[in-house]
Amino acid sequence: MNRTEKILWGIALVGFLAGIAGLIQRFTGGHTVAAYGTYVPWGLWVAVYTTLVGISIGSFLIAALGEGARIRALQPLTRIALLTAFAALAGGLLAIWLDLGHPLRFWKLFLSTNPTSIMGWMAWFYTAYGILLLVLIYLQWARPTSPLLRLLFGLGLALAVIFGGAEGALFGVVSAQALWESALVPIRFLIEGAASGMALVLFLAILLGYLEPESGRFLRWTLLGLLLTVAVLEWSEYSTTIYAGIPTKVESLRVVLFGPFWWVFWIFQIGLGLVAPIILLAFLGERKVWLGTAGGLIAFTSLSAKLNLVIPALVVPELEGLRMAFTGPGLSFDYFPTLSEWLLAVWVVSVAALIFLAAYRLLPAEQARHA
Amino acid sequence: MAQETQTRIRALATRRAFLTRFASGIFASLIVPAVASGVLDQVEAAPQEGAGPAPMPELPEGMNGQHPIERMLQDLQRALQKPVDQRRWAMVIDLRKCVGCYACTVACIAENKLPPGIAYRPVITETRGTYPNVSRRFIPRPCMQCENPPCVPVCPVRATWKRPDGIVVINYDQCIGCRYCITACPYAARSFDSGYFYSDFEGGLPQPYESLPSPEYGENRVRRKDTSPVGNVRKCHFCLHRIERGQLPACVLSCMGRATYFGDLNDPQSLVSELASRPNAFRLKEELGTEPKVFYLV
Amino acid sequence: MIATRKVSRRDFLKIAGASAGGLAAMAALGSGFRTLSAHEAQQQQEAGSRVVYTACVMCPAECGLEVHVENGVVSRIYGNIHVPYNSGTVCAKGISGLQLVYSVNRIKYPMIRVGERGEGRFKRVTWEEALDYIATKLIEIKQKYGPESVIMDCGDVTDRDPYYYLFRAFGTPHTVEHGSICDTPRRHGPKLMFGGKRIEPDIMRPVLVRQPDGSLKNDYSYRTRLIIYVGWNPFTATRINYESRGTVEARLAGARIIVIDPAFSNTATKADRWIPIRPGTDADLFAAMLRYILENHRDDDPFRRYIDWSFKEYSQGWEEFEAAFRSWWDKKDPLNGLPYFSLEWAADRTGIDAATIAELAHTFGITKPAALVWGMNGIGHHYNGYVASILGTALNVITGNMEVPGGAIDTELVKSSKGGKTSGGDFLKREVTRIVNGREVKGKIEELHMDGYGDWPAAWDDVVGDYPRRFIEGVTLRYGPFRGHHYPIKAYFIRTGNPVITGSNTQKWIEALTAKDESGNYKVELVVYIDTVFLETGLYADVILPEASSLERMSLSDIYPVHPVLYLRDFVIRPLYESKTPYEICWALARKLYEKGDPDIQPKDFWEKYPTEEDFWNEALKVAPGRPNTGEPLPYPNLPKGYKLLGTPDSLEAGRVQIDDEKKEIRGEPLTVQWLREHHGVAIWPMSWKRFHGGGVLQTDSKKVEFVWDYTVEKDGKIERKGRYSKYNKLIEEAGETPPGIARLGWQKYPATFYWFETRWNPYTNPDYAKYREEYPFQVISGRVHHAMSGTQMVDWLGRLPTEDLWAPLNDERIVEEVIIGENGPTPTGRRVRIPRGTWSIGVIQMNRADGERLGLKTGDLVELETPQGFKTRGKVYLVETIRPGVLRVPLGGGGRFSPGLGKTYVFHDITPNHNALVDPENLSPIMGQPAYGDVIVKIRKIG
Ligand SMILES: Nc1nc2c(c(=O)[nH]1)N[C@H]1C(S)=C(S)[C@@H](COP(=O)(O)OP(=O)(O)OC[C@H]3O[C@@H](n4cnc5c(=O)[nH]c(N)nc54)[C@H](O)[C@@H]3O)O[C@H]1N2
Ligand SMILES: Nc1nc2c(c(=O)[nH]1)N[C@H]1C(S)=C(S)[C@@H](COP(=O)(O)OP(=O)(O)OC[C@H]3O[C@@H](n4cnc5c(=O)[nH]c(N)nc54)[C@H](O)[C@@H]3O)O[C@H]1N2
Ligand code: SF4
Ligand code: SF4
Ligand code: SF4
Ligand code: SF4
Ligand code: SF4
Ligand SMILES: [Mo]
Repeated sequence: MNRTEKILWGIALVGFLAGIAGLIQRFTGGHTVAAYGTYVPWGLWVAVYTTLVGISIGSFLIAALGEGARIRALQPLTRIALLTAFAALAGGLLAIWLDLGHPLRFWKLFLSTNPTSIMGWMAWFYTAYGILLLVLIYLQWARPTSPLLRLLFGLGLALAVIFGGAEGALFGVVSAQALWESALVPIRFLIEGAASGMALVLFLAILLGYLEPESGRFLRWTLLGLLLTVAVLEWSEYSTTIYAGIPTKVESLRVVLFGPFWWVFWIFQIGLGLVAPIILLAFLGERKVWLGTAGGLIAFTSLSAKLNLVIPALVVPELEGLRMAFTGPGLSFDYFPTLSEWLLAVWVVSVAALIFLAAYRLLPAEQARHA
Repeated sequence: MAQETQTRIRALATRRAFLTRFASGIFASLIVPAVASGVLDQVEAAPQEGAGPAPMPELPEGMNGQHPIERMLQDLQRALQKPVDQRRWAMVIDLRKCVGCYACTVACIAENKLPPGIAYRPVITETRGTYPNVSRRFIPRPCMQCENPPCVPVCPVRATWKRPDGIVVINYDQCIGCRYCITACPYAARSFDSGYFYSDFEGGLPQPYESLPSPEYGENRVRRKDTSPVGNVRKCHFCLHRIERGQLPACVLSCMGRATYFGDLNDPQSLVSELASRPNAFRLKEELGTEPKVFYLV
Repeated sequence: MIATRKVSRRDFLKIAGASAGGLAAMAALGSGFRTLSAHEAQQQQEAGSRVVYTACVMCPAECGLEVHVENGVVSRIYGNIHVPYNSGTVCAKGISGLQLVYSVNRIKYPMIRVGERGEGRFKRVTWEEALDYIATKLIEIKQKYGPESVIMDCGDVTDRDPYYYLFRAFGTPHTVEHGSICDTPRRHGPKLMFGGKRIEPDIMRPVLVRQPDGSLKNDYSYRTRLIIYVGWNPFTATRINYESRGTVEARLAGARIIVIDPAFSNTATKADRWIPIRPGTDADLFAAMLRYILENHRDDDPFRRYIDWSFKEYSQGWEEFEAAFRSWWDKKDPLNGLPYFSLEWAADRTGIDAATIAELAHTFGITKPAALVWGMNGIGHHYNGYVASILGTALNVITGNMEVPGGAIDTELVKSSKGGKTSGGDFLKREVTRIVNGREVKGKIEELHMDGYGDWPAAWDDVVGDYPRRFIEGVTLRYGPFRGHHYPIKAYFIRTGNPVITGSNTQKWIEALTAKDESGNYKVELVVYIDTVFLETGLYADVILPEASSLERMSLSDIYPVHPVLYLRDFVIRPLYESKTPYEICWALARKLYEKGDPDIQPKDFWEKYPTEEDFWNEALKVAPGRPNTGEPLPYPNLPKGYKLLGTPDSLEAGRVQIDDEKKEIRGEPLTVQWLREHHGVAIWPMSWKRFHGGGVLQTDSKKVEFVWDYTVEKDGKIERKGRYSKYNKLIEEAGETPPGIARLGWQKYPATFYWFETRWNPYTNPDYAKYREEYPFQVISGRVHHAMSGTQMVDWLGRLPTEDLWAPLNDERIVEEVIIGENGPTPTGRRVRIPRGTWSIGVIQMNRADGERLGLKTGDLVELETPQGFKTRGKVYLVETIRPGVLRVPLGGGGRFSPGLGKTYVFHDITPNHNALVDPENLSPIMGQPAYGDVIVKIRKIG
């Protein structure tokens, strides 16, 4: 184990241990320890879940593009991308599982799936995707030459694209929340997911020290492209919204841009998540440090974009005056995660990290390029 | 009694039809066990305290049937004679009469034994204008029991659906607490039961009134930590347990301004039919196409 | 305690598995909060569910309720549909009664103070010990100072009869209700002119009316064309329950509603017109209306025929009244130089423009039937509220609106009688002897009254607001046989009242209750607090007695319907913990006094006479309905007109009656508790109108509406002095001494007809205060919040409901060490409770947005209010468009609440305003001494 790995283990373990407090609180206090409730039903954990799932898809895209679409530059990253995809998926599902009011009833998602519910479909997608990842991991390490691999990667590519979009559709179809209801949301999810997952793989590869220059170059320009697309999408989304002036939507946007958590948007999402990496990638991307920094920034700020999607839509009352109609726990339109929520989020991310690190230990990630 | 059983069977039958329609394809086989295990029809189970509609209470005699309560109770009795799928329950709230007293809010809380932080029927105060030209109205907001309820299709596990009589219900044992439906409801009519108790804020020991069973859906559940409905989403159900017994919803009965009316929209003679068809009736967010069955009079 | 109850409680203990120690043993298991297990025991005993018809006491409307009990626990509260007063409705407070019953902050056991008064340290004692302590002290006080040194104040809940009965038997005339801290100036007009109290619009529906075919039917027709509510907010201050549904129904049936209130009250939201008047100027408005009507009335012009002269048939003295009123018209107001009662004059003072006032007067004059109705804060709580009340009454009378269908009704005169002998009035007639200035004098107990024969001879409702002074100075009688008699106040019993917060200046009350004499003893030697909840006044008590909540006791409800309706308050559940019903408390105390040799308490008056609680209330029912068979349609056409009706509705209906021509009484079968139980808890006798004609229900000396209050008549060659003021004036003349209240107005005695004087602390109408206009630019008024009397907001549901811009979720986040009322009073539970920001409603200061912005304030800013006298309070401002600029409004009882018994309202006491911290303690209204809560001016300072 090299030093970097040790440090990563260390961080993950600290996070894991600290996060256990959140886990304990979640189990003893139920949902009363959280700040979400009736008016803001989804909070940090849902944001973490969507972020991790996005990362999973993004990382998987590297492997799928490399192997399925035979993009050679990406092939050295196949293995690490697969491991990242799996760990992130596991973490994401853990987050949403703990977010359920009745986690032990998760099986109902399979036994009585509602065909009209995107979330119902998602349960099956996850299962399919998770199994696919496991099979691919098995094949990749145990039968690297299996012809099945390419086929499955190809299939996975298609699945990931649909899946990444569907994740966004989960929000996009909710016409009650003006901010979500948009055809762009699924596309944004896909692009943002791709960017964050690829960025994380890039970051890890650099950190763990086996990024090949060719992969680096490819990812640099791909990421730059994706980020610019994100920028364009965000711009068009926001500007059309403001132009069209649908009051609740504008109100949500106002919350995003100038609300009490304006800094999440301006500093994290735009500054560190978009502008800084674009500059780094465009002008300093030659050097590994900057490339890695850009990757890390994109990956680690990806949560802010999700937070800014999930929460601002919900903090705007569906009906004007609800805020003052009745008061009580959970009946607040101001949401800020509680300590328990942060701790549990840290725990979930640490679990994902540990899964990755353990897998990385067990399964060597060096991957040869196909001839 | 016979009437009651019949109602139930019919409700179940319609429910099945509903399922079959959507259960085509890969999921069909998966649904069957759930239906067979009785999980799904529990919600339609008979309300407590014996079966069948309660007899009309003996009321003070009014002149020319003017007593609104008397009239609504008669409407109810008539509706209950019909099969369940021919009833269409609706509520009319006369905003000109709502005095903003919150009796309905609290009546509902007491009726359904709702915990802190849940009110099925908050009353929204809407103030307009600048001094001295101000106006204010009070808008009670129960569940709209939408004809096209956006909350229903999003539920991943079919824990919530529209009954044949139009009431959108939730099966607490089926609901996994994902809260997707909350985000989908344009009226914020769904609440998440996070698991608070009044005693959390008062002394710590369970209060007697929160240890009583809630009559919701005729299930008489006692609310305890970590068991349903804690962890579930909850909402106004038009006091199903009361109307099935021929009683008016708690909020309707208590209303200080006598501003709330209830009855069967399919019955042209009913008070609600009469009121809902008035030109001054409107519904909230009509443009969404949800077709609420709560009408407001202005 | 009575036998039956004892048995049942013992049974219940047996079931609970507790042995000799009983509840005490159970309590010992835990921290003192464990005793909730008592419910479990009761649950076992009372399995199953049942329904009880009873009456609410969460506010003085006392609506009829249908209460559901499941397994011994009160589970749901609905309105009793059989009671026409509320006709099945119930308000948020009423339903929350069940939370009050089970509140952890209930007083659970008798307690005796262990610390100093105000410290809030108590120890639990047995009833035996508590009663022993009280009885010993009472007898000692009686021997040393006389029973008149004892005050029994029954506060704001009307089922006080057992206390009245006991304390009057004990010998004190000071057995009072909260009377004079409520609204005496408001009641003054109706009281003087009709012998009544409360003018309300005829909008209680249904009303049970005799039909032309002889049958009785419930009538739902609204005939009212206009209602003017002046400083009366029935949608929020729910005292008259039917005004909530009646006002909006009447409006839909074509009535116009006008609300005159500095704040946009809930009632104003349903008005056709809201007129934001300057506080304390309602009398000015009424005077201008009357002048306008008198000046512009034309008999021959249908568009200006304001006055309905038929009022003269049932009134007397209008000419004198009118002359006295007109005599002001030529005088000029020193402040604005305008002639009194002119439109311009009123416009200058009220802040309402002259055209609006003219239109208002015209509308009221021309629209019939109509009702002009005024409330406590608008009129009852101002120094000169009497004037407004008299003018308002006159306006209703001369426009012909009294007692016409859809018009105005004095509900006091038409509601059912109740009480009778149970109020103990007979004891007050007992003759006693006192040594006054060395002379032995004889007189009746009632002639020892500190108000009626002391400083406030017109105080037909006793002057609670003036107690603090008397606690410190004692009482000197000025009138009647005991003139010159001086006695101290040594014992103060307060039941269902919280004067430290409600009875005018809080600090003054605290000073009085904690004042000590030279030897270091408290001046008021015994303070007993009898209540269900633990409010501020309890902190100053020596003994605290837990009274059964309203769902745990029996009595009759006292309400204001438009015709006789009476209903039962019944046992819904057994008293929890060790609380006792008023009857049980009084009978137990009576026994103790008797055992200790008090000569005035005799078994024949108590347990021998009314051995069970039901016997007592059956006695109280004997006088029902007690109103004459009068009006149109005649309630009982087959029975003699004008005779007083007694007995059950069914026996009267069926003619199963005895007719006493001498007494002019019709006696049916007496109404009983049992009869009520068998009839959904309620008895309803028919409605009729025109009940002033031929004497009818009027209670004045002349049996007419009186516009003069001190006049003479010749009867059998003798000259008799009549009119309500005449008996006070006789006392004054005999003694040759003017009462201080009216001496301050420059009067020698009470005027015989119309009078006028200015309110105080009002820089816009009273020249003495004009100098404060700049420095103290805000008038502070108060208003009810929907969900609270002074204590009910402590229950969770009510505390969470924001309302009327006075009670809003502006709380900051707090983590508090929880304190509840345990067996030894306020006790920390050791729990830390987090109250997140914005989840609990607190009392706020309602302020006009423009005012706030001018001062650089925003909603939620903490400010301090200070009066010229240096009284202060603080709170968060709530900037809204719903109040007149220059006026601040705070909730009554909504802030500064320093008793831990108030739960979360207590938690925020440091950032919420107490109106009575500001009120001038000396500003007692001149005739009956009620605190003038509404006359307050302040400057404002931001502090956070
Ligand atoms: N919910 C609730 N109901 C109650 C009570 C309660 O505490 N809570 N208390 C009961 C009791 S004891 C009483 S006495 C009644 C009181 O019943 P109300 O008199 O109706 O109630 P308040 O809120 O005291 O005052 C009514 C209005 O007077 C306005 N006001 C204040 N000053 C002035 C003024 O100078 N002129 C005019 N025109 N208006 C003014 C206030 O803004 C307020 O809206 O309510 C009874 N009902
Ligand atoms: N500044 C200002 N001061 C005011 C007013 C105002 O408008 N402004 N209003 C005035 C008026 S109108 C009034 S009437 C007074 C009201 O003042 P109070 O007469 O002091 O009445 P509340 O404060 O409502 O307190 C009623 C008491 O009754 C208790 N109680 C309720 N139900 C029961 C029961 O069943 N049994 C027992 N034993 N106790 C019970 C409550 O716990 C509470 O202690 O305040 C007056 N003070
Ligand atoms: S109001 Fe909301 S919860 Fe009710 S049926 Fe409509 S969408 Fe569903
Ligand atoms: S919270 Fe329950 S009812 Fe709502 S969508 Fe999820 S499972 Fe369905
Ligand atoms: S109908 Fe029943 S459940 Fe719905 S708001 Fe009214 S009381 Fe509550
Ligand atoms: S109870 Fe009636 S009047 Fe009161 S707030 Fe509810 S709907 Fe309005
Ligand atoms: S108005 Fe008063 S008496 Fe009537 S239900 Fe409400 S609190 Fe009880
Ligand atoms: Mo009062």
